[in-house]
Amino acid sequence: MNALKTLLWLEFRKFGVFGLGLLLVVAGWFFMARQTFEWNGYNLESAAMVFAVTAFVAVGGSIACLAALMMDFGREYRAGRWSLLLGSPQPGWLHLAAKTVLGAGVLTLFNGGMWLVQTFWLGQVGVSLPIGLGAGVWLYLLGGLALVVPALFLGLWVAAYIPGKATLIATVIGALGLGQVLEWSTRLLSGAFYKWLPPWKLPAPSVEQSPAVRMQWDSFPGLPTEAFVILSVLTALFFYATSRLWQEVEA
Amino acid sequence: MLARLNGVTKRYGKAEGVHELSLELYPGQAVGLLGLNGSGKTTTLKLLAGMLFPTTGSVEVLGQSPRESRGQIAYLSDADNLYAWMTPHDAERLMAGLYPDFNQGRYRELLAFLEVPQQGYRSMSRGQRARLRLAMVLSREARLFLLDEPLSGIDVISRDRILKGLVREWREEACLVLSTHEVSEAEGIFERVLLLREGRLALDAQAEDLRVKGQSVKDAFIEVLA
Repeated sequence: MNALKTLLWLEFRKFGVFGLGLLLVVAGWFFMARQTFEWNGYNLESAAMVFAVTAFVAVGGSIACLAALMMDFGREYRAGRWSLLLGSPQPGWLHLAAKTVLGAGVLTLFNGGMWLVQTFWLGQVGVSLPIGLGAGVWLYLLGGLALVVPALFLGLWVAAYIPGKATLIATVIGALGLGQVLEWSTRLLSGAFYKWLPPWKLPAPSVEQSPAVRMQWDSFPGLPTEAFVILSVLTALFFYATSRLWQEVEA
Repeated sequence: MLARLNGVTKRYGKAEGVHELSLELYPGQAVGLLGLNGSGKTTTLKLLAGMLFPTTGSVEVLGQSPRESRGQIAYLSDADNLYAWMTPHDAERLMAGLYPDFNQGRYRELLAFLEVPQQGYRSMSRGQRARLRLAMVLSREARLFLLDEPLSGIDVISRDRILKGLVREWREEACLVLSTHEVSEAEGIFERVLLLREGRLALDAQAEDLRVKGQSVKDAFIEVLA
């Protein structure tokens, strides 16, 4: 417990300023939106646009946070700090757990802030579409699981095995083929979604002024729960693989 | 016996860090690991610390692999590897949290002995940084201490004082291996000297035996290089 507390403190000292920067982004978006948009509950296109911008800022901030987390592995490796961390008798998973907890904490605060702005200010006054707590948490978990642990895994992998010339060719080919692989995977997986588990129905936004939109929303079956289950399993696998990889890293 | 390298070769691509290196280390010893730049000193220490894995051969510390014995190995890297924002107080917090054998009383004594200022790592001189890192590692109650060029950046007068103070009060139950390319520094300090040349162990001698032969460590070093 003492070791985890120490590692969390270490991560906080490294990422505290970055986390504060993300909270300033939330505040900035709040004030910008407040200054720019006026109440307009009838203009659904405008409301959808504001909603999309909020989501875009939230996703952008989250990706920046994950990129910082990933790059931190490489930076620590290059600076020779791993000899200090690897030399300790603490298990590899504890180091990763501290990074994950800190990263998840920063992301939760940031996305929670964005959700509050979206729902309790922009949404309530009709500038944007409100999003319910359940749906927000679901989307956050889905996005978080899809991004955080693979980022940890990739970060450790990149830091431990910096690509040489031979692996660089494979990396370029891999990157070029990534789009195709993703398309195939999506087709394969989408065939499986909605089959086994009940979909997650999102609460409808407050758009009483437009019954047509309400009807469209109601006809949407909800998000597939299979994706959540698959990502949870992948997360557990990635975390295990990353912990094992940590034990094999040379400093 | 505390640690053993058994026919260890470490390759980095086509280059060899060490070649079929075998040696044994015992408790209570203070060993000087000498060699020119690139002779394999850092590789040897990293292999013993479990920071590198041998390409062939085996490494044992207290009868286990170095990674399994991590709690008993105190390794000081030659890299300037502390966080820039860290003060000696922060370093104490980090070490006390991560290393259960960290002795905070000894750490404070060492900070005083090594004259480490209470300021951020970023604003310390190279020598002061080296002193802080040395205090952190020496404050552990480990069995095997591996120090890679710990005195580089420290002025000559302080180096001598620190080295003598360190070795004079060396603990019976632990072994100290200190690498340096300053051969004259090892004179009259270490009871055993290991000389590495191009990744091979060129000399493993008791300092007393060299003295009996009327040879200084420097003479032996030059003879081996010749």
